[in-house]
Amino acid sequence: MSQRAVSVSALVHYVKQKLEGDPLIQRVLVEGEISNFSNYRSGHWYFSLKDGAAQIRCVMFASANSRVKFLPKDGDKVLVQADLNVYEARGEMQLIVTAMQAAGLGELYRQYEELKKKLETEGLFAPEHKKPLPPYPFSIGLITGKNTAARSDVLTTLQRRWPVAAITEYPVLVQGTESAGQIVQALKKADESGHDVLLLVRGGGSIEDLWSFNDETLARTIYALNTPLITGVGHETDFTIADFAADLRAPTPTGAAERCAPDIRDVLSRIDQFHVRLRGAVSARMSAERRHIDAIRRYSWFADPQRLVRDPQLRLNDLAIRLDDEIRAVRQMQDGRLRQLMGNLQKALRERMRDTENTLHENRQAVLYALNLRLTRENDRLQKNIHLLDAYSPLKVIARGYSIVLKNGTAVRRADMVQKGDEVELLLGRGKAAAVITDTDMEAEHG
Amino acid sequence: MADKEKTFEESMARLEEIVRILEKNEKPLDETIALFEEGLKLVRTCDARLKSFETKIEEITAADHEEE
Repeated sequence: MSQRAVSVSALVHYVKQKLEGDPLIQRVLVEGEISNFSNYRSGHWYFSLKDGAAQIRCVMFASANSRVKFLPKDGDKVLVQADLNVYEARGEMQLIVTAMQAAGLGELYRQYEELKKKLETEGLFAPEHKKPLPPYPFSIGLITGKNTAARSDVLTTLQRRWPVAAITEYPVLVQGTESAGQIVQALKKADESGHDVLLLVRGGGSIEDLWSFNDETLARTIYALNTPLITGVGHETDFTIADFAADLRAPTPTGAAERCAPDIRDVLSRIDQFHVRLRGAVSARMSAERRHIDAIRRYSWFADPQRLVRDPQLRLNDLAIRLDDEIRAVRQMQDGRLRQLMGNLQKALRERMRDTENTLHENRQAVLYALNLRLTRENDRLQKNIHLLDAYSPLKVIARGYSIVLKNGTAVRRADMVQKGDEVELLLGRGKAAAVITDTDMEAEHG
Repeated sequence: MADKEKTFEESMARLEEIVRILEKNEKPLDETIALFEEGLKLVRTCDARLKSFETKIEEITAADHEEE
């Protein structure tokens, strides 16, 4: 044997570690028959659980067995919830029993576990589905039994901690065959009433008492609620299906009331703190501003506050003066420009008039000159013509013995212009004479 | 009218926000004063809401709903 030996304590310790670390045999449910039951003065119960083939030592401490509704005796078939424990000093393993029910309930537990697994798989207990709870509920729907301890626990707790809420009660049967149905109806009704939060509570009881909270329809109703729901059913160790489906599971009715609302004193003191911080922040700011103003006041014209008034006034006056100057300058500029324009215009007019006059004058001179010229020339011609006229005047010829023969007023210059028998008129040197043509000869020569 | 008012929760949240803003001291003075006034108002309304209460307990019996 080359193997190394281990000490007994090391071995037992190893076994203890191994067994107690195994989650399968912690919080395990075991069904069996009680034997060697002894109820010590300390209140702890010691007994064995056995079935046809094996047995195991059990201890149930007073703190746990005080909740068991019956006193077990040898031969009782029970269902226990227990943690496996190894007692090193004696090298024995035993069950530390935390809860015990009569064994007929084994079937209920199986149903419970099955339903729990089924709904869990469907996601009815999923944390992401849980609705957030309102921090300050002013309207609370309370679903619980009429005149129960749970009801008064909740109301007392709320009255003490958060008396500002309006509480609407939905009384239901919290055990018995009708209970689950009533709770479902009440939840639906409460959900429609628009409360901030709902409380579903019931005091402690046996597993049968609490059974209506393990109802599938109830679980689905809870899942479908729009209003956040807090449950507080039974004692700390009781977990119902309703608890799993709820948005928050409180261990007890009082716990549910505590979790559902803040303590009004806390909220009031929080408001006070806000008030103090608000004033603090603003007064700090105000004194900082005041220091700032003081600093500024020490500078420049704040030392002479009159300047505050005077300066703008001066500036205004200055502006007014400058505006006046400006207007005058503009006006002067306009005046000068106008005058200049008028001058130009008058000058232009005068020049134009003078030009016109000159032209007129020149034209007149030219006309007069031309007229004179023409007159002189005409006069000369007249004089010449008068001479010619005088020289060539037929009257002068006639006066020398010539006469002019007129036929019908026309001078007869050729013999063929008259015929025999034509009456003609003779213009003589003095007076006229009438004659008749007796003969005509075109060939006759003048002597 | 009622839905224009802030819920208590919103008022508390706004109050906290205002306190935080003012303690940062970054806003201009006008805004600081306005926020301060808003904050004081919220303090008053929140405080009043919690102090002028009476517990109202109403009983609604689910079983009665068939009578309607």
